[in-house]
Amino acid sequence: MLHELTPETRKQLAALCHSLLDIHGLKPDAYDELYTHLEDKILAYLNGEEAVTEKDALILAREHFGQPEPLASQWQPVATAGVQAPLRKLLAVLALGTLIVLTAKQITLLIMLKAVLAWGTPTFVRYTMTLIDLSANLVALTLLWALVKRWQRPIMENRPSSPLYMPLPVRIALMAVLLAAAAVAVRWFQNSASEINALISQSSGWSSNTLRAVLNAFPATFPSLLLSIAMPLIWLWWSDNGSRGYKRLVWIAASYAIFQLFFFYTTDIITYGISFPLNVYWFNVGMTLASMVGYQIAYAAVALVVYIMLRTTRLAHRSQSEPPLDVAQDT
Amino acid sequence: MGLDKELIGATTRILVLSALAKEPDYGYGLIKRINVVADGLFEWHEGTVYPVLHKLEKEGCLRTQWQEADSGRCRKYYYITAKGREMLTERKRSWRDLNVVVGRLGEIGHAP
Repeated sequence: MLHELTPETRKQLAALCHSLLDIHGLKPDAYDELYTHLEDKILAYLNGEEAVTEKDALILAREHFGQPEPLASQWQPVATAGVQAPLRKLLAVLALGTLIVLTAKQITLLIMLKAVLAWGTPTFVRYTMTLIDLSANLVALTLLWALVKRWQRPIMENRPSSPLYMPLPVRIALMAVLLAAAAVAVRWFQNSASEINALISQSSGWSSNTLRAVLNAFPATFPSLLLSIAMPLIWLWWSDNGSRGYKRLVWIAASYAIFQLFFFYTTDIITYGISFPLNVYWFNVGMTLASMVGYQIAYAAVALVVYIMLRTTRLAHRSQSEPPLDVAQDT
Repeated sequence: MGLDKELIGATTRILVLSALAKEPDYGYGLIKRINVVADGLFEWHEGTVYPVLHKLEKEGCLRTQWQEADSGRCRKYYYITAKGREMLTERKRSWRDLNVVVGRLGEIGHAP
């Protein structure tokens, strides 16, 4: 039985011919010839008079499959597990990077402290130090971002791993313990820092005493530094169960920031109150809050760096793996 | 083994005129007819033939007429004109001359 074109197909064919005429500014006579030619061609395919070549079959297969671009983005969240960077390696890079930049920041702060103490009042010193601290965090994050970008290619070439996933209550409990430990460590560092400040301000020589102060500060700063670095990374590790969609990663970063801000601030006030009950007044609370907000923004940003990196990794892979789109019919 | 694309391009006019001199046809029918005769030596695509047909029509070598095809549908048939026949004769003569030259060169190449 010979096929006939349906009214719907004829309508589409007419629309196609009209658009071709409009685009190329052809004479109306060309419309009829184009239309009848395409009609003949379609009918020849349907009636089996015209054989389907491999090239035709490819075009048909792709057309039936759908547009590659939107489909690739739909597949991305569910079919890219094999191309994601292993979280273990990613976190190792971030931990090392954070350790380097935060250590550099701490040294810079100690060096600057001497200069500030020489000409400032105690209140002015605290404001200045907070400002310097926040600025240093921004510098640290910029350096970290550069580091991650630099190492992006080796990381994305690795095979993925299956990260350890823990239920939310267990994560919260463990994070609470860690945060409490970090708060104590920070307070210890602050006490040590007071002694170091006194040492620097009383010293007459610049180089030798500054170096001494830095060396003295390290045993005190290291635990808090390590904990500060470890916490966002551990949070990411625990939150990652293999699915790294846009919403999930944003949720991880945001929840971490809120969670740590609340717990760190609370534990800090509590431990400060236990250590110095007479000194808990609003100025200290405000300054502590400002300082903590700065830290939390910085560490939440670390989590966001992870997200951005994963996102760029996936996009880079997609552009590499996508087959060429050259399906233009050879005429 | 297929023919060189450049050679096919250079012979499009003579092939079209030859086919239409034998029998008037519409675009799709002409393409099909020539592809059958070519028997896989080359394959014409629609985009290549229509510009040639239109150009020959513009030059007065072909004329067109809408008429009913065997399928019962109305199609634009191409007819060769007197000018077209002259052109075909001229082209055939050139083709034969060229063929002679190629043949002579072949003889020279195979001479003992």
